Amino acid sequence: MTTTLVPDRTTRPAPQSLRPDRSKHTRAGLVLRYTLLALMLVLLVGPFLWQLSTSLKGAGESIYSASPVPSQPTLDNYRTVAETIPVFRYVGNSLLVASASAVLNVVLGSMAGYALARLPFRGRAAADLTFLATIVIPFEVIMVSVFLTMRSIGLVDSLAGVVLPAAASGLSIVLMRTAFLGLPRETEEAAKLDGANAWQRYRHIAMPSVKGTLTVVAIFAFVFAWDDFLWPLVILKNPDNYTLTVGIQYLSGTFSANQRVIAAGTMIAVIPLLALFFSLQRWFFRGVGEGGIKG
Amino acid sequence: MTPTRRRRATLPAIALLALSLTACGLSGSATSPEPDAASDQPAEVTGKITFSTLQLKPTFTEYIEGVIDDFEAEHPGTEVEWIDVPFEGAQEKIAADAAAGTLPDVINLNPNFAQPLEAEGIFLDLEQEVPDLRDAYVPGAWDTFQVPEQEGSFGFPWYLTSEVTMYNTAMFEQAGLDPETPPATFDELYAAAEQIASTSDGKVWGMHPALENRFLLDLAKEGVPLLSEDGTEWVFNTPEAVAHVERLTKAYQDGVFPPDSLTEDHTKETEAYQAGRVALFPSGPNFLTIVEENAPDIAKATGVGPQITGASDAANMSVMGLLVPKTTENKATALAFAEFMTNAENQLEFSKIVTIFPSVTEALQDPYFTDDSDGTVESHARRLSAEQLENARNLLPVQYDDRVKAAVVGKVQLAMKGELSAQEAMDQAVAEANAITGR
Amino acid sequence: MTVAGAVGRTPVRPGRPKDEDPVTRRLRLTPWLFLAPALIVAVVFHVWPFLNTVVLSFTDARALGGGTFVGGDNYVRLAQDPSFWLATRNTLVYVAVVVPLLVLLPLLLAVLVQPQIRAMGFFRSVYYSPVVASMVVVGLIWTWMLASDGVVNQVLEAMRVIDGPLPFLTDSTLLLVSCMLVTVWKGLGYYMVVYLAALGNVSKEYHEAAQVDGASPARRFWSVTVPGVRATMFLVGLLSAIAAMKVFAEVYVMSYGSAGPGGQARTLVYTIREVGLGLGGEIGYASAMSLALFVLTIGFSAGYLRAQRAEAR
Repeated sequence: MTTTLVPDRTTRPAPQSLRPDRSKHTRAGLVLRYTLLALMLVLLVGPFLWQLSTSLKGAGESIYSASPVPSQPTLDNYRTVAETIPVFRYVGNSLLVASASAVLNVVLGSMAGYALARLPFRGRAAADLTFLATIVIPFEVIMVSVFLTMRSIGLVDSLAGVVLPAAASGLSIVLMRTAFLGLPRETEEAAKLDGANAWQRYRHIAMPSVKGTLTVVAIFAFVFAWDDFLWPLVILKNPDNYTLTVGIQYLSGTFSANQRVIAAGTMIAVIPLLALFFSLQRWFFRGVGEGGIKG
Repeated sequence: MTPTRRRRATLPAIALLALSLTACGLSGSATSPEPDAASDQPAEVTGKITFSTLQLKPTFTEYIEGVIDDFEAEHPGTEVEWIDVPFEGAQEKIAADAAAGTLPDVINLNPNFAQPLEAEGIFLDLEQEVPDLRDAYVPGAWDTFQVPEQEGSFGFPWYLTSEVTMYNTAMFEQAGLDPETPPATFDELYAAAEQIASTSDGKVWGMHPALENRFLLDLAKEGVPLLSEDGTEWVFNTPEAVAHVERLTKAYQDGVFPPDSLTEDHTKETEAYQAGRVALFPSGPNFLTIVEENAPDIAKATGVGPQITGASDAANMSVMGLLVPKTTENKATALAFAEFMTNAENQLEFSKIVTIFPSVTEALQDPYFTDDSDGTVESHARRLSAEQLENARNLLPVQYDDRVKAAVVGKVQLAMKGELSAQEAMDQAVAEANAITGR
Repeated sequence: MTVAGAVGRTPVRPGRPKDEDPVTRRLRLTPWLFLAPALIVAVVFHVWPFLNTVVLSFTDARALGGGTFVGGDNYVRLAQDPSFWLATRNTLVYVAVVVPLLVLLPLLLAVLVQPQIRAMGFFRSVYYSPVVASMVVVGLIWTWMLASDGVVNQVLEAMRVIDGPLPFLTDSTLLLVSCMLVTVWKGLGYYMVVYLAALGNVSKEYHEAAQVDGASPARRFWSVTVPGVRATMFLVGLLSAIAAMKVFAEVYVMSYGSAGPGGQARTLVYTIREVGLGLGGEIGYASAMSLALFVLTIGFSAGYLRAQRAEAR
């Protein structure tokens, strides 16, 4: 049984090498490309550097001084953050919430996306509209209602309550659906003739072919959950349960606003995201040939 | 319309789609406490309560926890759970809790946040619960937690602040002004600002208007009546108000204010002062600490003068309060704790941590607030501020919520840009403010 | 209405004869089993509360209290509310300007960083950094750059393009333009990621064949890359349009919460939040306004998808 489920390689383009293929890139082309890359770098990296620089400035140095490079670089501000708020606990909560959200979106989003792309059924329009609604409705508008629902199912002040509303975002479903639609139908048709049921086709043929999109869905869901502020604040009561975005609000108190410490706090919130992105971005290409020949 | 009548009318409308779950939350529980719910509560001070504050962590963590420990020691068997809510998003959180009937037992609010909740009858009336406490507090502060045309007072006044005028002495000197004599009236303030702007090289401005923070307060200080006698209608489109807007317009167009200041808020004003871009900074004395943290060089050059006054001579103070919702399941302990938190001893200790002021008359008489012989800017600011409190009031009407503010300030911005005349701006502002408040 | 179905190239043909054999009768349940978890989440936490919003839009509900049935009063008020119409106009202009830029520019960026050559992982991550930067910091940087004495004005003045500084932040039209700039800037990295995943699908052989034919890079982009990611371009167009319909944060931070002088750069979600959030919030009226936004967005999506289907034929 399982052997029939292995995708028939001959129907797909050969997997491509990930090795850099320098021969194709002429020297002039490379120079041009890196010049463009550097130019974009300047345009896009500003906020990050500003924050980094502010977070490293010492107490005696005005944050409004013209020089972007700190004259007395120090890690004191990061220490202050750790002393002021239980930063590890908040990072832990955020990791938990964001990872759960990523996993749920990958699983639920790909299942729903697969059904929409590949399985025939009535009521498609209703399902579509439902998922579109989750993208379109501004969450602030329904927040109080959602809060009351959470309360009636007893999830107020729990991390599950934070995660659930975004556990299967319309965005994830639409992305997954587009990816599945791009796969060649032939492989699955063949498997179907071999007796593979829908779950087996989804699990063993479709899913391995869309790793790039799965990575994108995971990253988007993770980042969204990590950055969300208003909903975790509303649903969480006990400060021990706060996520990092809520917790770092405590760095700018009513009677103090040390911009350096606040900047250090935001750096702590951003660096894990960039690290995650950096380590996952190569997966975008694992599915080379993911879609096979399209259209 | 009374709350009860409203609730009864609600139910059929929402039962329509049988969305009863939300219906009872959105409209019901906010008004649900039964009058005799208190009867089965412990009359003694014991048991557990929750206490929420507005953004006091981390600076006051130790202080608040200390007071809670003292309270628990004084009343064995009690337990106070403290939650600190960041200011950002606080209104949404409180609204959700109020809808669900899960407000903390003792809740820290400013008068503008408290107002809509008070009007819904959510809080215990302290005139009835603790009538003899009234006299202990600064009268202007106690009266802040009232609803126009309604009986009762709902908040224990907690800490107060009162604006002073900070200014950059170096810039004063450079502009040929006496660094020892800060402006005291609006006329002096604008004259000084203008002189600084006109003698600078174009990189320093006189002051920042911070409209969202100051505009309506300044009108009140200029003696403009903001609301009608019965407090139901905005009436501030007087000739004095028009003159004030004309003055702002002229200052903006003459370059006394920074060009981008039109839409900027108080945070940007603080930043502009810290960055050495404006010379005058009327604000709470607690901002001295913030300036020191972020721009030590500017802090060194900073002098402090009293709050700017206008035609009315009135000074403003901002008040924080502690309120107890009727939904509390432990009224006795909640009231006892709120009183304990705001008593003279605890408030005095609080105000020694940062430049704020106690709302209890007894504590205000402490030498800490009257003696500035150590010559520091802080103690000078403290003395000025405490002196002002004697005849200060909360000048900002409780009805001045975010939406009224946005409507009023928006019109002033258009006037300052020259798109409306000052008169048009004030007339339209009053009309829009009334449309919002009247609903 | 199909949303993404139209985006993909292969139309799903429901009810084909071979699905009708007896064994598959019970399989009719299967699609729903796949959909169930996501549907439950969507219904319980989005659709149900939203139906609630629909009901509330016919009441005078407030954040605290209220809730009397008032018929269509809120909608009548909406039709007469100049700030609603201003917000609608601004929002539509926003969509019209931002969407084409967000369909094209991130694709170019993705093509730029796609090759697996040295340091590319670093560049990709750095380009993604605006996406994760907090909106507060983004506001701080951009207001600083666009201030009257900011970098942008200094450069323009040095180049003699303008005589005096442009009021990017205090003129409502220029403020909207500035916000669009921020939206595009922040969206570059976001949609770049979507494109990168899709570019993985464009077969390399096509490129190589084109290269052998001697096609220039620009020509290859138009004749190989663009057709290969067409489905994704439509997807990005739809997603960025829906996102632009809901634009709020940019306007809020760039104007310090004021939406420009007199609130004239207001957008729909800005207005919905202004009216509905906070303790004095008029939930009923805000609900009516959200419903208007919902209808507008659904209508736009339907029109967009129809146009796309027509084009695909």
